[in-house]
Amino acid sequence: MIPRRTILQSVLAGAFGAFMSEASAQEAPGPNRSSSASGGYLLVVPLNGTTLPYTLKNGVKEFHLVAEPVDWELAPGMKMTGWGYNGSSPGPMIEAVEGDRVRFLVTNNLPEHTTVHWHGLHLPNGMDGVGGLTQPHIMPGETFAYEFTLRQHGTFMYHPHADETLQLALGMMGMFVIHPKDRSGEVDRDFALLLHEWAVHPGTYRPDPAVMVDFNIFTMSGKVFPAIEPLVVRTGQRVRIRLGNLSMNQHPIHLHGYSFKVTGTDGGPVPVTAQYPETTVAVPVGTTRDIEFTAEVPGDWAFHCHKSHHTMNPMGHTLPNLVGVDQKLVARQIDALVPGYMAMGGTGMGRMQEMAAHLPGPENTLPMMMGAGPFGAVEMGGMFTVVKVRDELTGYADPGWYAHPDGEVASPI
Amino acid sequence: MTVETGIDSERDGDGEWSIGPALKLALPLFDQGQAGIVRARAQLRQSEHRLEALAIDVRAEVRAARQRLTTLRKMVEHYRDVLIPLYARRVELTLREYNFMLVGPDTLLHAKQDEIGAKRRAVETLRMYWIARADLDRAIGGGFHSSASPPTRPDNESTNSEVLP
Repeated sequence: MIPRRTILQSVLAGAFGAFMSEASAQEAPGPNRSSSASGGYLLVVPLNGTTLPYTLKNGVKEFHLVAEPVDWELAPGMKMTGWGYNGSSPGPMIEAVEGDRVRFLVTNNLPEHTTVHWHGLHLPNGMDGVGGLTQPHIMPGETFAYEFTLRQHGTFMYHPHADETLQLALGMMGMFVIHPKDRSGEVDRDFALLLHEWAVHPGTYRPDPAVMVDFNIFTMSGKVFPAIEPLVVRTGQRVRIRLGNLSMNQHPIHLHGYSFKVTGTDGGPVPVTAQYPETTVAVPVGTTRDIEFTAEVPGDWAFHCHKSHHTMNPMGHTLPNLVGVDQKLVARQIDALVPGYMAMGGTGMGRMQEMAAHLPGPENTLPMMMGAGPFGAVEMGGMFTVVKVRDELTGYADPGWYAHPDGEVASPI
Repeated sequence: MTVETGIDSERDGDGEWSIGPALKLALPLFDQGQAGIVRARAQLRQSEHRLEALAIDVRAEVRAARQRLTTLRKMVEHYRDVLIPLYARRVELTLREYNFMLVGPDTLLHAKQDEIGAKRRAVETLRMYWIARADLDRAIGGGFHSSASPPTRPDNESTNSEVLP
């Protein structure tokens, strides 16, 4: 889990996104870095992701998106066989500047037709990407060009508008960040992540597009805790986190230790007079939210969806409630019948992480609770990561666990 | 040949009775016993056909008994080699799901119940196999020895003590 910064915009002239790989990604140059290719703007860090490179052609920024099947690791121990863009799900983040003329070459390597809809963007109707309504479908093997001028700034998204339920369920989506032309609202660290939900049944690999409610995997940028990268920040820095949601549920995203303000949505900037302090931001379905705060207090601050089952990995939804049930006798009887049986849930589920480490589970299935912290099991999963604030930092690399000053850790008496 | 004797009487026109002995002889001029011969031949043919039918019935009965025996043997082997391992695998996979709190103990017990049910059906099938074996033995007049060894008990956990002769 080494945070990567891709500054490919300035180095990948002539290269298409399909050729982008981790090998060509570069380590972050550090805080307050800028790139001439982005017009001197602070580049956004897509958690666990990459930024789509472009080629400048006669003043037009040309990007290449390849819609294709992907094998994607949700966390070590679990993969999904889905669909995405340029080898990942979510696809690479698109980053550009207000006023840019952009062209997207979209190649369809899927077994069925697709389109790309540019969620939230103000553009000519025929570039909106709704299959059948504003354009013909992009058939397998075809490449379509979308071209328009970016007339706004903020955090947006892209996703198919063709067989949408299935294509979203299998992972086709990405973030689209547009920097303001006037360089207003600059921050010191700018992160982006996309929220999504999956139904990957225990023992399987293919996300089930027929599931509408009962999802069992909840991801930030296509990963679950502890595979989600931490947000690494130096004490005192101004931080923006851009959150997008293309799942079927609203996600109340909560930051420990701070209050923040919602400074923008995919509808545009929120006027300063309309911003009020929050500790949790509800990210509704099909929207983005930008939050900002100043990281004044060092530490390892949890950052997670506050629907508690969204910070868990697969768990059965039809289990009998055994909380408070004395299972001693029946556990012995069942063990005689099914050797290896262990009673569970009678005194709570907190020991599940410890037990799952010793008991075999189904193929390609994560335990419902994961993550080892400096004080023990973190007992989380899903949409959970850590904002790591440190006094001394040089880059975006994970600084490890926070060293607490003496007397500042809760302890037994 | 038929010989008939008797008394015959006759009254003449003048009213006088004449009585005398009567003898009837069938002269073999036209009837030379053909009907009897035909009947006897028919009876012979009938007996031959009955024998043939009996032989066919016996063969059919033996064949059916053998067919029943081999079918039951295949069923016993299918239980032993395919179905029971599948039910056991299902219990194992259900236990894995139980371990990760994906299913409850009731689901695990149902899987085990299904496995035990399959084993019970397998034992019943083995019992029918042995009855079929006895039927075949009787049909061929005893002394039946299969060239192939009979199947073991379809409970692969205890084959050593349950191997059948």
